[in-house]
Formats: sequence, structure tokens, C-alpha cells
Amino acid sequence: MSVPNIIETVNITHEISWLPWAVSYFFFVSIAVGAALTSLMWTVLRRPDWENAARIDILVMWSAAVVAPVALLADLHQPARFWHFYANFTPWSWMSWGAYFLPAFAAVSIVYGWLVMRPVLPRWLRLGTRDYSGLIKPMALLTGLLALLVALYTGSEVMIVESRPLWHSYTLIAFFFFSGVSASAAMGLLVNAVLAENGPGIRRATGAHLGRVMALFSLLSLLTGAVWLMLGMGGGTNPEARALAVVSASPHWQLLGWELLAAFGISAIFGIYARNLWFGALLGLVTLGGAWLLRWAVFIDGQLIPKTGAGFYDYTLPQGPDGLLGIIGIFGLWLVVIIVESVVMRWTSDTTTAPLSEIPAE
Amino acid sequence: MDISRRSFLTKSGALTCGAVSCAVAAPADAAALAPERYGGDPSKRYAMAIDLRRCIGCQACTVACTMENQTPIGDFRTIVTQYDVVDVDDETQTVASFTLPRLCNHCDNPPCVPVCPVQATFQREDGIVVVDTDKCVGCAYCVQACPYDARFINPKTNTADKCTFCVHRVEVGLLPACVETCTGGARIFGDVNDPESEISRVLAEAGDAVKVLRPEMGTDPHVYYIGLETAFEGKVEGQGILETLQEKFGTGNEEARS
Repeated sequence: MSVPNIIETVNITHEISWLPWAVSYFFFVSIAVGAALTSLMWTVLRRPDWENAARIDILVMWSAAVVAPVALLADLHQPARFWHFYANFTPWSWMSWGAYFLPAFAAVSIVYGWLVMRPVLPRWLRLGTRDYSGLIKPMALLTGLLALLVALYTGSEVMIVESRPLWHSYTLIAFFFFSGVSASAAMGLLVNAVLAENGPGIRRATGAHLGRVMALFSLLSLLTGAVWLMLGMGGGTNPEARALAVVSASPHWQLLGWELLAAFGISAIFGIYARNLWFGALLGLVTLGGAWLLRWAVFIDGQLIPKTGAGFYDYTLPQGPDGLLGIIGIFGLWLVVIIVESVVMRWTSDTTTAPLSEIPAE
Repeated sequence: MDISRRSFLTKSGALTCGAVSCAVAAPADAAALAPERYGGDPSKRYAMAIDLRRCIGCQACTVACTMENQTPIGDFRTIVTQYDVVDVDDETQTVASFTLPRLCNHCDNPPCVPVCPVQATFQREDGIVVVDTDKCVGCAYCVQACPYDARFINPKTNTADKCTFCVHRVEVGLLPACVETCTGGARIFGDVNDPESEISRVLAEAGDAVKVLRPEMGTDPHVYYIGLETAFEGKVEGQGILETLQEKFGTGNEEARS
């Protein structure tokens, strides 16, 4: 390592201000978006072989759409003032638009999921016997549109931050979106292995569909990474090049790069073998790890790059709500929601319902 | 909560009416789709000049700011960063030191203002960028957008915090605390719209030697430096003190910080 000719002797460590809560938010919201869009294969495109996978996607979408806003609220340092977003609409701020897109998406996706799942819900949750199946397609399209708006705003609000070259790249929008779709399929594989067929409500998907989605979008994530790297290595003053110049010499960042390559690489190569239930779940864990790590690198490690000072800021994960406890808490909440969903599905023994299409289990 | 239910209802009502009128009057109001400046004297444009040749790195400004603005321990609205500069090709050369006071640049094109989702941070007509802490939701978007790391979330108020050019002092005819206390007279504050002001005179005298931090960001900063070396204009390419300490003594700065 060459000896630098400048040593910073006095400066402060600028504390990160987007906390691990933000990582959780961007992780779960991209999963909710991915699951909502994947479920359209059945609800809009009417591909019958996607039925079981689509129902798993609805479970994933519900759980992530409930958890994500909680994490986002926790990342506000004044969570009780969230209503200020609605009292001060600010059309030139992406975050202000997000304050409308996110709740709209969360609410509509829950209704859409309910319409899709209604035949397999317990009787009391079906809220009557009227036939609403005609509403499924329009609600699916609306959910899909809102999902795309959420993906657009989450990516854009980070991308427009010019002061951070690592964030100020169009590839980031694609990176978040592709890895989110991949992670939604990954979470689906996990849910499929652990919870499906625990009762009459949810049939096990073959894993092939979710595995293919996971593999394809992990591959797209890798390609996005390759584009970022090429833009960076091209030199010049574009944000990618400036970001790469800062991170490429750091062993910590190099390791992050290899870890991301490994996670999405394994996911892209082996995703098509996810037909095996437990292998699929394992691949799902690897992919979820990659999607989490990507966001951790962008937000936490990204904020440790000083905008003016030398070197990197210092960070130790706090043990409390703004650190480890918060992360455990938010995954705990997700687990609770998934368990509630599975319990509700198990109550569906009173099947006077429209049967699921006859898809052979594996 | 410091907002009454009545004002909440009033504002919700205003939002509903606002949304309707927005939908009707959208094309005519296109120019309004950007933050507006308000408050302060529109005839003035406050700015600061920092003559680095006069800065001795004593941190008197840092201390004065902390006392004046009661910033929490560990957070600073201004600080004098310091650097050791070594000529790698000539090891016999004496180490030179460079001091660089940093604060909010009260940019004419402040990236922190348009990102704010609730319009809590705004620019006054006299150029000073401030935060309405009653409005701020603490989302820290402005902290991310500032290219100078000049903002932070104040852990006591849980809202965005930054240098205000001591606007509370300026409004009663006093100088900002850091300017008042500067031992070397390196910090000069005033109205650049007034050609007779001290700051206008100093800047005119320095001519081309006047520089700003990160000019490539297009933010038009209004903290001007005299004697700023190019290597320190942007992100400093060098070694952080923590890395130096870690290499020498291993980690352990977590204890030092707590």
C-alpha cells in the first residue's frame, strides 16, 4: 500500500442517519413489490401452472407489505410526526410521493391478496358469499401499477442523492428492483418449504416457477452489477467511476463485492434446481442474504464514506433498537405475520369453496 | 405532540382543498413546483469568508459554536479539520499541516432543501438555510443530500440540525459566535450584496484566490475560502486518522468513543 501524502489528524465520525431500519425497509418493500408482480403471472396472465406459486407469492407479499412500513416508520427520528407528510405535500421530493405510493400499495395489495385467496380463506374471513372474482384482474393490475411506482420511488429517492456517488447511479434503481424480485421468489421458496401444505389452504408449489424467477432476476442483478462496474472502470467523472475509486482499494468493500457476486451467482446458477424443496429453501436463504447484504452495503457502508473527509467513518452496530435489536425485531415481526397467515390457512377445514386447480404436488 | 388537533384538522382540510385546486390549476402553477424562499431580508445575502492563512486550528470556533448553540456531545455545526501533509518523494521535508474549518455552506442552490418531504428545511431570502424543527420529521434525507456532511440528526431533538450562521444573533445585530471568537480573525461574516461590507472588501481583494468547496456539485456555496489548496477542495484523498491509529495500535476506538 502506497503511503498517502495526506493524513487527516482531526475530524469527527459523522454518525449514520439512515439506520439499519432503512436497510430493513428497502429489503422488505422490494420483496413485497417483487411478490406482487410475480403473482400477476396467474392473476392477470392466467397461466394455470403458476397458481400455487402465485398463492405463495401472495403470502410473501402480505407479510412484506405489512412489515416494510413499520421499518420505515421506525427509521424516522420523529415517527409520531408521520402525518406531516400529508399536511405538507411536497411534489418535488420523491420521499413525499413515497408517502402516498407506499400506503396505497400496502392497502391495495392486501385487498388484492384477499380477493385471490378468498376461496381458501376460512369462512369468516371471506366476508359473505358474493362473487367478487371479477374484481381480481383489475385489482391485480392496480397492485402491479402501484408496485412499480413503489419500485420507482424507492430507487429514485436514493439515486437522486448526488452527494453520494455510490447512490447517484441509475443502475441502483435496477439493482434494487431486480434483487427485490429475486428475493421475493427466494422468500417464497422458504415459505413454500416450511409452511405450505400445513393445512388445506395453501398447496405446495413445485418450486420450479419460484426457482426460475429467482435465477432470472439474480442473473439480472449480476448484469446490473457488471454494468455498474463497467461504467466505473471506464474512468471519467461519472458517479460510478468516482464511487469505484473510493471503494476499490478498501479490503472491506472488496469482500462485500465478492460476497454479493457469490450470493447472486449461486442463486442464478442453481435457481433452476430449486424444485427440490429443501435445496430451494437453502438457495432462498442465500439469495435473501445477498439482497440484504446489497442494501446493507449501499446504506450502512455507503454512509461511512465521508463526503469531504479522508478514509472512512467508523461504525459499530449498536445492540439496541437502532441496531441489532431492531433487526431481530423486524424479522421477528415478519415471522409472526407469516405464522399468523399459516395458522389462518390451516383453519380452512370448512372447504365449501372453489377448489384449487388440480396441480400435482411433487 | 406540539401540534394541536385543531391545527391538524385545519391542515388536513387545507390539504384536501389544496389537492383539488392543484388538480385544477396544475399547468399554471408549474413554476411553483420548487421550494420557495421566505423570511429574512431580501435585500441581503449573508455569506462567510474564511481566510485559511489566518486559521491556526485552535478550535475556538468549534467551542464557541457548541456553547452558543448547545449542540449535543459528539455533534458539531462547525469543526476545524486538520491534516498532516507529507511529500512522499522527499522524506527529509518537514511535515506541513493544513487546517480547514467546515460548516454549512448556505448554498444558493442547496441540495438539502428540495429533498425535504415536509418542507421543514428552507432557505430564507437572505440566503440562510434553516430547519423548522417543529415541522421536521427526522427522516434525515437532507443529511444524505448535503455534499458537505454539514448536517446531522440531533439526538436530543431528533430533528435535523446544522449551522444557521447564528441567525438568532445576526437578527439582533451580532456576529455568529464562531466569527466573534476567531482568534486569528480568519472568519469574516457579512452581507455580500453590500459592496461596502468587510466581507465584500476581503473577497474583492482576494480576487481569483477565492475558492469554494466541491464547486463541481453546482451548489454555489456561500462560504468562501482564501488559500484553499486544490487537494482539499473535494473529498480529501488521504488516510483517515482512525485507520492510522488502527494500523498502529489495532482497533479499540469503540472504547475511546464511548
